[in-house]
Order: sequence, then structure tokens, then C-alpha cells
Amino acid sequence: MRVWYFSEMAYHPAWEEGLKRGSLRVVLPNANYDPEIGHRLLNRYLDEFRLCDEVGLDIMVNEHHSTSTCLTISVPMALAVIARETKRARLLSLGNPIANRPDPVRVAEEMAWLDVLSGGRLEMGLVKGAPYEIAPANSNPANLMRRYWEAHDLILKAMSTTDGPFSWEGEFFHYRNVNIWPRPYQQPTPPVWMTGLSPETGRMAAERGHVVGTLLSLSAAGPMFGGRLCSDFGGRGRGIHKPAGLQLARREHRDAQIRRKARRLCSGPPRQPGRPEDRDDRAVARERYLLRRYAG
Amino acid sequence: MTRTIALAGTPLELVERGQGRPLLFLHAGEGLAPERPWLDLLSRRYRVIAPCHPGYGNSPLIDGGGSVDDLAYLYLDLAAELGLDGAVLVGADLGGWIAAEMMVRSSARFSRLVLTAPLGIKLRGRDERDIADIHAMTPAEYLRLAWADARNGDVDYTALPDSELAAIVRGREAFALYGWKPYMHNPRLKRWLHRIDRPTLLLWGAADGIVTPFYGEGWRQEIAGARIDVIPDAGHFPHWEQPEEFVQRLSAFVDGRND
Repeated sequence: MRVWYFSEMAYHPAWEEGLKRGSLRVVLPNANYDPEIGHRLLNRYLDEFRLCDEVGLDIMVNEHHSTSTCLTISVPMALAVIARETKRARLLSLGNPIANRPDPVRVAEEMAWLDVLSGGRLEMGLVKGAPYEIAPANSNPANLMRRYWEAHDLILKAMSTTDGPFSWEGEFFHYRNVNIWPRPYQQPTPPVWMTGLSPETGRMAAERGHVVGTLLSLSAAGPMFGGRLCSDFGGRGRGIHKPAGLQLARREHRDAQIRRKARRLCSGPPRQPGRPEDRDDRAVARERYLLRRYAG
Repeated sequence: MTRTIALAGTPLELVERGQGRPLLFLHAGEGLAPERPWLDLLSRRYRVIAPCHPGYGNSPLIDGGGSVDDLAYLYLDLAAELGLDGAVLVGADLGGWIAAEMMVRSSARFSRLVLTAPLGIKLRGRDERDIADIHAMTPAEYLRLAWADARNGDVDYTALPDSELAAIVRGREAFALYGWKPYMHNPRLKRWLHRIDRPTLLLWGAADGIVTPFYGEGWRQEIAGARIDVIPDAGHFPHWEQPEEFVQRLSAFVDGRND
């Protein structure tokens, strides 16, 4: 089992005020942010990521916008620092909200650059973004999934094409010459991660051999990881063999409670009858669940 | 009568009622609501043709997406398909935006234009919003801004069957698709409103907090000869809140100056 350390690099000093006003994000004015405290926090969080590398943990970084819950506004910026300060950790971007990004080729360039910089330690998450990211990005929510898949296809083609340039004239994105330099260290692309909840996302991820993860929603995502999907695709040798999960445990839980919660979370989706190799898939699935402890 | 016709390779649901001069009614972002009184009131005087915009009712989105440009061409095709001549074009809110986009392209099949609190143009500076952001307010705020009497717009969603809820959600998704960014307007439309060469009436609710009568005045200035008529005790949907007053003022304009 691989364990990934994840911190949103929160600006917690504003939470009390945010809760009083009814929201920690989007509409909470940044007058509630003190640049000096932010400077200290950001550097502390980056020190913690360096420590993870020393103790053998892998590292996950995400991004959010207009929020006191997450000071990371750019996964590639954060990982650029972390890549230089770490030696061994796998670096998981989970990820780039590509349906909210106007320029997918720029995403491909940044991810390839990070992969080169880190010597092939990048795990590349291409995510849809939470609903509250729509307002800061002002991306159209009504066609978000069409945009997501077009950006996804373009990014992977840009990263894996070695005889470019190629042109792209899609529904949302248009390029004359796509020919990224540098290309990624891991060929043809770094491992790709997705997030989701629905069986449809599970199917799309399984078909592509992507890791599929769910954040804070393991119970709702049951059908995505469900036995039937594993069986359907496992039968063709392309099951969801790369699931991941993240849940919260509260700091005030006693250690024993946390261990109990972890065991419950790691028990995974209910067992379904299936062929032995399908059960192996699910065993891997259970092992990959990640327990997060809130650090205070 | 409700039927579905195929136009430009896309199915379109149409409500048709009444006899007389044809009147093409383009509904607001809220949806067509054919069970409400205004279509019946209009159909006592006119041959009412009221499509459900793609994404609303039983009309699928055009190619799974589409824009207000597509809707304008679709309804110009509809007018040609039905052989409309001298028709009255009426549009409310989103429908008003679509109607204006049609008229700057071709007014050939229409004799009169009635725009009820239309969306679609940008008047003020880049850091001022002309159209209230309906996607960023609470339901209570929306009711307060959009209706003279909030009770007129309040819907008890818990009492609706799943099929109606699904239709409402589909309509909202379509509304977002057409008007997310730029928000509910076409930055280039105002530039061409002078091409509207038919008598035009702008109907506005006195209590409209979504687009104020100031916005209506901006429209009036761009369309030669247009006049604006403000309906009291009505918000953003005067046809919904004051249907009889709406029809009376519309018909006074349409029939009072009949050619």
C-alpha cells in the first residue's frame, strides 16, 4: 500500500470569521487574510512536504480558488517547489481542474516540465473540479463534461505525440501547432488519475487504465468501485485495478477510534461474487484507500 | 395543440393555439409554462406559436450544446417552415434576446416586435453588471428581485413529480449553457440593433430587479422608433404576474397601429 500525504495548505486563521459569515470560500473577502501569517503558513506547509519525503511518504497536492481552506492556487507551482526539495516521493497532482482551464496545452507543458524536473515522479490527476470552483473560474457548468473530455484527450495527445506538430480544432479548443517541449520523462505519459462518483466515470477510467479516486465520498462512490464494474472490465483484463480514496478523521478522535475508522474505511465496497482475479482487483482497491488525519 | 417538428435536423416541441395573425412567442429562461394563462389570453386574438427552446420541455439541445445564435437561426427556419408572413415576434427575458438576434439577421417575416424585459446586450462599463447574477443568489433573493410579489414565483418543489423536477433542472442547465459567459448577453449585439426595422415595443415590469427599467431605456435608444411601456405591480416576468395587462398592452400596440 502506498500512503500519500495531502495538505490543502489551509488558511485556518480565517475559519472562525468565515463560519460566522456562513462560508469559508468564494464570498469570504480576502481582508480576512493576513499576508504575514500566510507567508509563514505557506512555508511551513512546504517544509512539511519536504519532511514527508524524508520519512518515506508520497505527496499529493491539489488546488482551490477564492478560499480560506486552501492556499494552493496552482498545483504546478506548488509541485515545482516540492519537486526540487524532495528526492524519492511520488508527486501526485490531484489535480489540474482541466475543464476550468482555458489552455490545455499549457497544462500538458507544465505537467511534462514537472515530470522532467522530478525525474519521472509525477502522477498526473486530471480532475473536473468541485462545484464551488465554477464561480472563481467562471467556466460554463452546463457543458463542463464535454470540455473535460476534450481537454483530457488533447493533453494526453500533446504529451504522447513525438512527431508533431499537430493541429487541434475541437468544440472548445483550437491550436495551429501543438508540439510541446519538453515532453514528459515518463513515456508516453505519467500515470493518469481521475476523480469521480458515478459508474460512468468508473467505466471511462477503467477503459483508459487510469487510477480513479474519490475524495470524502467513499460511500456515495460505491457504485463506481462496485463489483459489477470490476467484473465487467476485469473480464477483459481492464478492471478498475487502480482505485484510490481519501476520507477524513477528526483530530479529537482517540487513536483507537481512528484505527477502527481506518479499518472500516479500508474494508471497501461490499464483496460481490466474482472470479478469483476480480477479487484480487478488489483486494487492491481496499488496500489503496487513504486515511487522512486533520493536522491542527 | 402540442407537436414536435424537425427543423434543421433537430426536434422542436411547439405549442400552437388560436387563430388569426401569427404570433411567435419565445419564452423566458424560466421555461414556457403553457399551463399559465398568457398563452391562452394571447390565443383569443392571435395564432400563437410557442416553441420550447432546445434544452427545455421535450426539445433536446442542438447537437448536445448550442448557443443563442443557433436558436436565432432555428426560429428563422421555423418562421420559414410555417410560412409566417407579417407575424408578431414576442420574446421575454432569454426569449427577448433570441428575438433581437433574429431581427438583426432578418425581419422579413415579421411586422412587429415585442420585447419583454429582454436580456442580451451590455450597456455599462466592464466593472458594472447590467443583469443581476441569478446564478449567484439565494432563492429568496431571486424571488425578491424577479417578482413584484415573491409569492407569484414561489414553487413548492417538494410537491412536484420527478418528471417535472427533471424538466426544470434541464431547463436551468440549458439557460446556463446559453448565458454563462458572457453573462446573459452578446457583446456584439448592441452594435447591430439599428438593423431592427419594425415597430418595436419594450414591455417592462416596474418592479423588475433583474434588468431594471434603466436597461430598458438602453434598448429603446438603440432601436429606431421603439417605445417602452412599464407595467405596474410586475417584476421581471410581467406576462406571468400581470397576464391580462400584458396582453392588453401588447394588443394595443400590435392592433392599434395595424398596417
